[in-house]
Amino acid sequence: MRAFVKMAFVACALFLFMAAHLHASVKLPSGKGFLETREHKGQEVFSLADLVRAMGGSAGKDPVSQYPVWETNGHRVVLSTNTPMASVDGKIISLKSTPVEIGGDILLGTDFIGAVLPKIGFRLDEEISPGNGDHKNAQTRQPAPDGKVTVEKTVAYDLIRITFNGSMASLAEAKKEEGKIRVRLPRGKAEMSAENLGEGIATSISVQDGGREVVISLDKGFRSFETVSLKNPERLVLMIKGEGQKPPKEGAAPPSADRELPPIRQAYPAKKPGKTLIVLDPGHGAQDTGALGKEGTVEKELVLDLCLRIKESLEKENIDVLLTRNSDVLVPLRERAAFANFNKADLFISVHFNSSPLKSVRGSESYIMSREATDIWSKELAEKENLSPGSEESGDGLSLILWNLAQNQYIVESTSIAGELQQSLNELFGTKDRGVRQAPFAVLEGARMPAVLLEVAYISNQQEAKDIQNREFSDKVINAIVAPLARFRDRNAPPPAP
Amino acid sequence: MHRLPLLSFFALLALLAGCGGGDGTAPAAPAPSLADNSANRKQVVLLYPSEKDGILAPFASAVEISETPQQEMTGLLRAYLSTVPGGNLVNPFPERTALRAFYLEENGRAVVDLDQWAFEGGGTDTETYRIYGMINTICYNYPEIRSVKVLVDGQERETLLGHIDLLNYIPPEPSLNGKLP
Ligand SMILES: [Zn+2]
Repeated sequence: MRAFVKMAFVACALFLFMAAHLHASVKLPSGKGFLETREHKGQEVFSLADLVRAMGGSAGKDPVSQYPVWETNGHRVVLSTNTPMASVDGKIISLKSTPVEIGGDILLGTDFIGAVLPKIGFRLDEEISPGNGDHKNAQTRQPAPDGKVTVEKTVAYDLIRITFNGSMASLAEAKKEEGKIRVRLPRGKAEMSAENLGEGIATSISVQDGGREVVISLDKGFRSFETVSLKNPERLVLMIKGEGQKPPKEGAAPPSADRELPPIRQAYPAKKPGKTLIVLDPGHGAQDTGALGKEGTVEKELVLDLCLRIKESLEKENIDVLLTRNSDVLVPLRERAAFANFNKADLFISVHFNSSPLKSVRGSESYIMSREATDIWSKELAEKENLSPGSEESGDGLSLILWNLAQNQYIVESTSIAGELQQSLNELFGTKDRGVRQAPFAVLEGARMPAVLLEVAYISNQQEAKDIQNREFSDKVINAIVAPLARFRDRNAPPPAP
Repeated sequence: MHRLPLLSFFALLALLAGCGGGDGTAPAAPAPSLADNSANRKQVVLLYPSEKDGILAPFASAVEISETPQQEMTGLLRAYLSTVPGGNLVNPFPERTALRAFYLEENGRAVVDLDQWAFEGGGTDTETYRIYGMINTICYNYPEIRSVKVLVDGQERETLLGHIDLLNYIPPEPSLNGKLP
């Protein structure tokens, strides 16, 4: 009896041990079972030695470079321990994390399985995504059942985004003909009924050919369209660009919300008469981590936390605030300003933390779109070439002017608010004000309101990275940002609601 | 960090890939100084960010005089990527960043194709120094180049590190330069 209890106890312990380890494991291809994983600095990793045991081949070091090498199936995998990359037979492959050498073993992030093994002859099972597949993403986005393609729409003033989710949707083809865009699905049927989109860029969306084709009728505000094919899950994103899209009629129900891509949610502008509306854009998100700084700081996390707290403070100042992202998601750069445009915001601020290859640099910086630089450039170019503005030959200069046109009329206010934000933060940090800078920032392009990219501090600087993680200090940072924004509200006080 | 092993790593990759077209052939030693007056070399200025004041400061170097401007500019870019300027100057690119290709187009336009190492992390400053350090260097030494398009791994990219627009041709930004010779 005692022996039985002992055995049962051992079995239970073994079961619990295995259960615990089943959670922390990664599936190997070609029926090789699971590989035990552990956590290292917030990353799920596994050992190269374990991988070699499971998959075969031999591990060693390159005699010249001393980088770890795994040779298997006639392939040679070289791992860099300085940067998140590996090479397979001389071809470079990006990894999500840098391989780490600890106690003679090499720790690899779990994405290594999907990124490298298919390149050395192992066939992946369905659920393991090849390349740089984002596992988290794959779990949260559920593909539509086989044969069904779900259609999601977001409608904004200058952009209509339609996402086709479902098996093989990424292979769908979009063609423009006679005032329509036709999206032909390679397999399955679109799960939707005809819908009125309003007017401006497009007027309606409907299905034809028993659901095999989705047709979007275009309007006079239509300018261009593009498609992006995405995996994990399979989807095709159709972006229809233009100007002046209006919802079907006042009070109509908003179009279905886009669950995964949050920014363009509202059917109607959020701007309320008599109130200042600021759109805060926490930079980066999801696989775009932004800068990785000292003290374990990650730019995308710091900016999100800061923006959420700035929002709270601004709302106490009677300023309305919208965020381009409320969580760790990737929002395309050009959709961020489009979101502010659609909501008729009074000010757009893209918030970042800086990192520099220079060790000495610290403090706050702000940027606006590079109108001056490009104007000087185009003027010089015109002078050199003796070209009149508007001449077809003026090439870059002209296109650059057009490119910046949207921001030009707000340049004075953009410079002013950028300067005030930067000065306020530099006073707090006790750092030198280096003046407002200009550069062609993708996120500011097309903003139809004063727009600033604010670099709060340098996380490549040990002290600033430490300070910003201190709650008391970051409260002061928030106050330093809110004060100039309150002054902006006073300066631009919109007329009160009738 | 360890420049030699890293270069070896890259040289090894190029060797394994069986292509000499990558930048595995970039010189391991810093580019020669102005003192190098050999007849077949042209003196050039490489612009790197300075710890002193954050501006792009000149570093004297030399490139081989080639039969075509395209070849010469390729030499300039290879020198730019591989040089360790030392002193207060810092090369903003990861040590192993290689030039995949360089093309000259009409109307003073050029296209630079870098390899994936150019994506290695950093912030707005890192990105600004990489893009304008390189573009200002090309345009300063070859004023006939007026704008440059940057590709990575042969493909058009929206940005390098999430900030500066790479979809357009970028003119130089002289305001980032310090006093130049
Ligand atoms: Zn950033």
